[in-house]
Amino acid sequence: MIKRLVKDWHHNEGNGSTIPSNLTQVSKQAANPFGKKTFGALKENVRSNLRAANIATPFYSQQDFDDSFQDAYDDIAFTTQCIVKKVEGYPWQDDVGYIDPIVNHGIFDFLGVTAIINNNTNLWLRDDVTIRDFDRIRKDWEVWYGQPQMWAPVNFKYFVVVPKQKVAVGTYDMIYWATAPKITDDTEVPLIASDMLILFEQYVTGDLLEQAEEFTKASKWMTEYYTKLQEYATRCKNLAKHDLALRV
Amino acid sequence: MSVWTASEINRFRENGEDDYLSRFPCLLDRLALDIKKGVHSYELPDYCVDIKRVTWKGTKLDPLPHRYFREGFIEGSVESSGKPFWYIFNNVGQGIIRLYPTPPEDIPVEYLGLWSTEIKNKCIVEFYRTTDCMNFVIPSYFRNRLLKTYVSYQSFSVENQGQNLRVSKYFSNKWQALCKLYSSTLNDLMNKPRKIIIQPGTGQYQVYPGAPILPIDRYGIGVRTGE
Repeated sequence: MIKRLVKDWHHNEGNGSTIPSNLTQVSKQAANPFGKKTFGALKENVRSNLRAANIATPFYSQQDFDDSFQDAYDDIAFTTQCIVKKVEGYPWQDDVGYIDPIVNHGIFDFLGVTAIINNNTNLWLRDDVTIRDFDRIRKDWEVWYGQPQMWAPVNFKYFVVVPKQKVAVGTYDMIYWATAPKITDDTEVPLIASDMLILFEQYVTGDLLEQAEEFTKASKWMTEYYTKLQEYATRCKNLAKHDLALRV
Repeated sequence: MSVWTASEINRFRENGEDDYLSRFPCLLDRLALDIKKGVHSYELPDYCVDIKRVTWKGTKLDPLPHRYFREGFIEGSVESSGKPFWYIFNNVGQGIIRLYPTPPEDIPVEYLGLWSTEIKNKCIVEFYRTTDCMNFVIPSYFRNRLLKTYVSYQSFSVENQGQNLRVSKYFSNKWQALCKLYSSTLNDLMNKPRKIIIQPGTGQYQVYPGAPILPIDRYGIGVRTGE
């Protein structure tokens, strides 16, 4: 069995034919271990996994692939918070403590705030407090006026800065987690680590198999996907885990 | 032709959204009470699931169980009128809260600016709510994937040509797992302080105002120690 697989691989390598699906990822990674695959290349891998490349009347439409890839991208970005962006120079607003980045600043890919720096004081806002801590400091913190010193998340839509400015001056910079961008072109490169691009293949293969009502097969791919997703989520938050463990 | 109708799928989708929000309320809304002088009880809309905070012109009101209210304040024998400090949230009536003391002034209702300029002028109730399937919905970055699973779970369980209980069980398990995963992630985004700027342990004890510390010889002694 292994001999036949190896023979198939050598036979197919370099001549543009489809490489057997169980060796697809190994062969492509070995050929280009540090290059990032585009969405087009990932879609080809999924077609290979599903043997959907050479069917005259395809079972899966292009739209099926596109929707599933977008779902995968959204899921990875939300669960791992791997996409981090920064916006600068947003003005403070009069008598506004609760900030909705989508409504107030047009940040449509907002997922959650990571850090805020007040350009008036050149200080980062404290991020170790919650709404409950604000209540302990003073009961009327919602009408506490002054230079912003602290911030806390409220829900997925709002965050609050305390104190707030009655007559606002100055600006602030914000670092935030972003949702996945819309995939418009197959030549785009995903904004996730290159060794984790297999997440797309696992999710989309499982998703399309579910649509074809092949649930036992889909279950295998989905289990692998969610296991690897948790690994990537941990890595995104703890990149220096080993160094921290060795620190005295 | 699909085995399921569009209205069936919509119904399952709405049920799925309600089911998720009942487990993990995350849709926050605010309303301003139409305060009348001398009126202490106010009804909240039925889409209000859980009160998060109540403020009177920016000052937080503390929740007070009705029992404590009866034990602490002799209802009916003492006329109360003044700036409210508490709200009684249970055993007052379905969806009704009672402010105590009774408001001494009229504050007209307002619908705009409840997250900004009207905080200092109104009595605002902040609460978790049910979905209206339009403006207040689950965040879009996981809504599609989550509800698709629930719709599949329900679709394969109803009595028709497409019924497949084994598949329904697959999607039911997936629905439970996704609810747990997305709730956990959303909870981190919504509630967890980041603690990136201030590391745990460095500024931890500096949040609250300073409190005086007694001299070491004035701590007193325990009953057992003195015996």
